[in-house]
Formats: sequence, structure tokens, C-alpha cells
Amino acid sequence: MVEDVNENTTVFPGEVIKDVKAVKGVTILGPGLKRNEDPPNTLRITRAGKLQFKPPNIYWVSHNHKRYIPKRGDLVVGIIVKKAGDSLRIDIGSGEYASLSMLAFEGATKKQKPDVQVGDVIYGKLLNAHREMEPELVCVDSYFKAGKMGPLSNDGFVFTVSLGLVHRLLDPENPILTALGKVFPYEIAVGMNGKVWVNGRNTKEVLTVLRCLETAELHDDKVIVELCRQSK
Amino acid sequence: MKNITSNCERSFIIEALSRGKRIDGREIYDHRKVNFFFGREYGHVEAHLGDTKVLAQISSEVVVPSSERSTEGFLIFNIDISPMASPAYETGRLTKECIELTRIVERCFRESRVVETEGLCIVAGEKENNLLNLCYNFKVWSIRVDVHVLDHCGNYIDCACLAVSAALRHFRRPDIAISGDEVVIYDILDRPPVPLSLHHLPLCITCSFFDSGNLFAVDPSLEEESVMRGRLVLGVNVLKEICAIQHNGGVPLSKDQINRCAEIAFVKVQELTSLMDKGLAVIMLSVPNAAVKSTEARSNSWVRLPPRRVFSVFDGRVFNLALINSSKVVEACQVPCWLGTRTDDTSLGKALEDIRAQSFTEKGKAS
Repeated sequence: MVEDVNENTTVFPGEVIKDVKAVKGVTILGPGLKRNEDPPNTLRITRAGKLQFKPPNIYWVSHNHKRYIPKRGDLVVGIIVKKAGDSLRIDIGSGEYASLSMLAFEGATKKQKPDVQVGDVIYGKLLNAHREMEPELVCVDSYFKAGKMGPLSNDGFVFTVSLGLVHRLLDPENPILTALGKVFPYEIAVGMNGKVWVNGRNTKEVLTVLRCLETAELHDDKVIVELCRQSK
Repeated sequence: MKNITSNCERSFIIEALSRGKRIDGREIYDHRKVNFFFGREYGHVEAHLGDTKVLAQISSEVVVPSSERSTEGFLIFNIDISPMASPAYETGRLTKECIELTRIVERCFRESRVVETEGLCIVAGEKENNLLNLCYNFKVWSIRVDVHVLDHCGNYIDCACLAVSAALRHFRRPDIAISGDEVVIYDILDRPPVPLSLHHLPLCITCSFFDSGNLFAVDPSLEEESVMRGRLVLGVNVLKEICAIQHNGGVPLSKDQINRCAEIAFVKVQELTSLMDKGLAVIMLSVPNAAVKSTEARSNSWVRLPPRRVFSVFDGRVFNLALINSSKVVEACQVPCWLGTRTDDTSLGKALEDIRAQSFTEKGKAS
């Protein structure tokens, strides 16, 4: 039984949280938690990790995974596996390939389709992700604008990192990417699925980013920041 | 589900190799980190080559020999690449990769006569003229080697050979005694079991070729394997004998290139065999009945030397740890499971420090 949830308590599947805080009877649950029927007003942990609480009523478990489970609205990096008529099949690292319509690019029409090949890298958004259905990707937002989405350049490199590191990197307050950017310029697309695309001025710099993120898997943010400070 | 490599990975790996760099930070001639995990039973070895993991399990039984070779035992390989290794493989289907791996391992270990099969004969007897009972009273050992690729992160051929070699050396068959027509098989605890007699020990070294054969790297990772154009697998032993050779892919290789690969393989096989020697030296210190005393004797005369390498040997409950200095085992001890899961050398070294301090205080209390 977890009593105090304000700190970063380590929790395991099966544990129960009592005294759940709610606003007007509403509690917002993130990943790794399920509502308990009996006893009422308790939560059950389903994943091992650190329990987080954001006042007034948001709970989630921050954890690390290797396997990606698609979720609606996630921005992901994927690789085109197959071109089949008007739709593309994209490997996003989940159990099933995602589908992406050729018409879901900015400015694409029936006659004018985007120029993409098998093996190209795509940055897109998950429109649909249901347990029993094939995930569906789009490269436009609700105003039919691409924004940052679309095919990524063929220079650069794609690699896979753990989902825990992705969550860390996408935190706006995380210093890793900024610290690296102060040493040399580079482009990066971090997908929620753990795939990361990097491009830099030359091979050496891309490899440096790769090494840095590999180190970040096992070490604290401070280690990377310190390394960047030394190499300046 | 096939593993697809993106175009940018493809061009980047080749670009990096042409500058003498590899994406995982290795040099061109480097192998990934090799580690052996020995199980509680004899002949149970898990070899790790970086993230690639292969399990070899050896078992033995007494069988009737084949009628053509009535004085020879059997060495059987059963090799399996399951979907556990990678989602690219399916269950129950004999894939091209599985057949290739089986062929290479058999060529390496059976056709180069690693195990002395005549030595596996128990009762040879006289061949009777009666055609109906050819050799029913003959008895030989059948050594079965099960190989499972647990995790495929590139180059499982080298890893499988490492696992099989270590398992063959680790394996002990029960001792037997023959009195008249009767054969007695002793329990392992009653009589010390007998190792296999091995003539030599080959290991496979894989060299991969990229682009048009001008770029080259030893021990390709999964990403490199999907980009490479050709591969040369060399099965060599420490005596510089080539036992097996396999070349696939469409890259033509010149005689000089093959000779160069062989030279590299000779150096590599020395390194890998000495690593295996050290791992086996540790585990043989900690096997149940064999050499417990000598471990104690050693641990009483601990020498404080900088650890060269920490070997972790897992036998179910505890990790057996040992510090190695050049070729000698400096110390060996057992560590609870949770300590052993920290696999990097420095933290294991710390764990050893803790235990050393602990047992010193215990000794002080006892005296």
C-alpha cells in the first residue's frame, strides 16, 4: 500500500493507492494506473516505475519500456516499408505496421502525390490507435498544414532509444538537447515510439549525438551537460 | 514482420565506414563484448556477444550405435532460431538462416572432428554374423547439443560457436564402469563426472563486406548486417587451422582479401579462446563437488591487485564472481543475485569490495 504519493515513490504492479485526490469527483489517470472498484476511491498500479502526482488531480507512473504501444495523437518517426496503391505501410516499431494515406500529406491530391520511396523516413502523427485495429498515421494537422511533419531528409541517421529516454528528451525543461546544440548545430526528430532521426553537418557530429543519447540511457542529464561543457 | 532498414541508415553506415568509424563506436577490427554465463548443470552455457545471446545446452544418453559405425558415439546438433530472437522469424518453419547456421556449426564441430566419437563408445563387443541382431548389445554415448538463439542483434553465428565451444568444454558426462556384460552409470554426486575428450576447439569469426567489397568490418551488428553486401565466415582454431569457411553475398573476394581475413581470424580466435579459458577457470572452481576446497584456499590468501576483468557466472541463485589478473584467478566469491545484475565492471568491482570487507569483519568476529 502506498501512503505518500507526492514524492517519486517506486511502485510495482498490484500495489494499491488510497486517498485519491479528486476535483468534483474527477481524477485524471495517466499510463500505468487503473481504477479499483473494491475498495472504492482507490487506484491499482499496472506498471513498475515511479508514481507521479500533479496537483490537483493528475496521477501517472513514469516508467521505461522498450516496446512501443501506439497511442492516439503521438508524434512518431517511422520507416516506409511498402507502397501499396494510395497508401503506405510504415514501421513505427509497434506490433503492427501503421498505414499512411498518400493524400495525408500537405498539398497532395489524387494527381499530385508526394515523392516518397520505400526506406524513406517519415515524421507523422497517429490519427488512430486502437488495440484491435491497424494504427493510422497522418502528416497533416486538422487545418491540412504539415507543420514539422512529412518526409525527413535522407541524409542523417535513424536509431532506436528506450521510451523512457524519449520521455526525458521531450520534456521542455530537459537540458540534454540544448546543451548539445551549444556545441554544434544539428537537427533532430524524436518520435514517441523511440525512433530518433538525427542530421548534422558531418558524420562525426551525428555519431557524437548518437553516443550522447546512448550515454544518456544509463546516466543522469548532468553527465551529458558536463560532457558538453568540457568539449566546448 | 521483416526488419526494414531506412535509406538514410544505409547511406550513413557506409559513409561512416568509409571514414573508419562504426555506428556503435567500435573500431573496424573489434568484436563486441563477450560474456559467458554458466548454468548450474554441466554443459549449460549462455554466450553473449554484445546484445546477441545464444544458449547451448548439452545432454547425453546411452544409445545403440548405427550398424555402419558400431564403435562410434554420436554428436547431434539441434539448432533453433525462434521468434524470441527477432520478430523476423516464425515458429516451426525451417528458415534459410537456421539451415545455414546448422550447416556452419556442424562443419565446424562435427566434420572437423572436435569430439573424439570413438571415445564415446561404451561396449563395442563382437559383431555377430546373425543379420537380425546386428549390434543390439553395443552401447555408445550420444551427445546432443541444443542451440537456441535467444536474442538476435547481429552475428549470431560467432555467438553460437562461442556458446557451443564453451558448452563442450563445460560439459561432463556421468562416469561409467564395466564389469562383464554389465554397465554401471554412476550418479554425478557419487563419482566425479568425465569431460569430453576434445581434439581442438574452433570458433567462427565473421568478416562483413560493404559497398563493392572495399569496406570491411569484423563482427557486424544487426544494422550493419542489413546493409552489408557479403560475408565471410571463418571457422578457425588456436592452432591456425581453418575448419570451415562460408562466403555469402554477391561480393567477389580476392585471394589477398581472404588471406587477410584469415590472419585477422587467427588473432581473434586467440583472444576469444583465452577469454573462454578464464571464464571456464572460474566456473570450474565453483562446481559443486570438484574444487570447493581450492576456492577456499585461494580466498584465504587474497591478493590486492587491480582487477583486470570481472567475470560473472550465474548459477540460478547467486552470481559467482572472480577477479582475473592476466591468466590467473585472483579471487572468486559468490554474490547475491541482485548485486550480480549490475553487469558493468566497476559496479561489480564495488560489489566485490563490499563482500570482501564484510567477510573480513566476519572473520574477525569468529577469531
